[in-house]
Amino acid sequence: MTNHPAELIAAYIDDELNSAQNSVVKTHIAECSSCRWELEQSLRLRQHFEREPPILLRTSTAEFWQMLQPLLSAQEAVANAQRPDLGMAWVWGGVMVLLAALSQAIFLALTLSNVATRIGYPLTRWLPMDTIQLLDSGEGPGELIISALESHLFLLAFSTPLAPLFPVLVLLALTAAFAMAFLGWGLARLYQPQSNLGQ
Amino acid sequence: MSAIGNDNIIAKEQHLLSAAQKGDKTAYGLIVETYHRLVISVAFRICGDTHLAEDIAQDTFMKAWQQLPNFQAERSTSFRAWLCRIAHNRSIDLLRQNRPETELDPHLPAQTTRPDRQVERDETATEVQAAILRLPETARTALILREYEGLSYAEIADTLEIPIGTVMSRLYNARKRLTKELTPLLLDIER
Repeated sequence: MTNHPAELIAAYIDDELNSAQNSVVKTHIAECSSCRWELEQSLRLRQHFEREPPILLRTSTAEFWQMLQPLLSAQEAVANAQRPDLGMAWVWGGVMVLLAALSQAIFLALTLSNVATRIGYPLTRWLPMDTIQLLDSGEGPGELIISALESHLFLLAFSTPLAPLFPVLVLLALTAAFAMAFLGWGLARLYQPQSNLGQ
Repeated sequence: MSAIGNDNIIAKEQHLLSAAQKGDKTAYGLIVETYHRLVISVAFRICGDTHLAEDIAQDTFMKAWQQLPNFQAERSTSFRAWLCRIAHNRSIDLLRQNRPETELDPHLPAQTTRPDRQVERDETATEVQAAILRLPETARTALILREYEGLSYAEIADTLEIPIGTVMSRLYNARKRLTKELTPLLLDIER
């Protein structure tokens, strides 16, 4: 016999097999003397573990709890000292993130729109013709959208001597937005209760 | 124990856990009372030193108190498996810090048997404990959790964060090595 279900035999001892697996092990043990020997040895080992008395505790459970309580309090005191009282700071952090995200979105949309217009590809050219006609007719809020998209505010700015600084300004604005977002996320994480300490 | 009695214990434990998760220290005290011996036993069997085991138990219950709000009963096989995981990790950390080999503490069994057989039993227990301590860490903990603490394979898998198949093979390897080392002693056990 060459195929010994050794690990199944270990689980058999622990009564962790289903009935089909149990049958496989029983059949095998009946035929294989080496596995039978191994099983008997494991059962003797189990017998030893069962006979062994429980370990002797150095301190009773009551004494242990008496010792543990001041340690828990000290742990809480340390956690409280390390944790700043943030109050509603996480709300303001969230508001700052939203404002930063909104202002950056507007800034980038207008810049993109004006750059596109300046180089001869106004964004409105991708709109369907009937929509453009509707927007040009000045009916509804479309006029406002078109005027925002085609605003010459940034175009004028591009023509000033400060124009070469624009990429740097965009970069700075993006960095500020990320910094504010990170700050908001950090404040929210700090405020969220993550443990029993400091309660 | 009857199924109803078992259900009552589980319900009581869930109630205590829920209270402790909200910061109720009295409820936590009752949890500590329930699991103190288990944690000491796991730590002692892993590291073989009663002083160290007590330190590990303190660390375990402090960390458990800190992390209790994050414990999710539905994501863990059982609270004791979760607690055993903390105790196991702490024991392994301390063992790695405190190497070389910890001296085996002879403080092992409670005196519950007759004195004439007691010496023999103590010697056997010390020998078995020494053989357990020579097992690789991974196999050792699986064996301890199964043989001494009676955890199911699912609970051991949860404690050690390994698949059940790996639990099976670790237990097999641990037993194989122990039975090989302790053959003469095991033959004596039958007497």
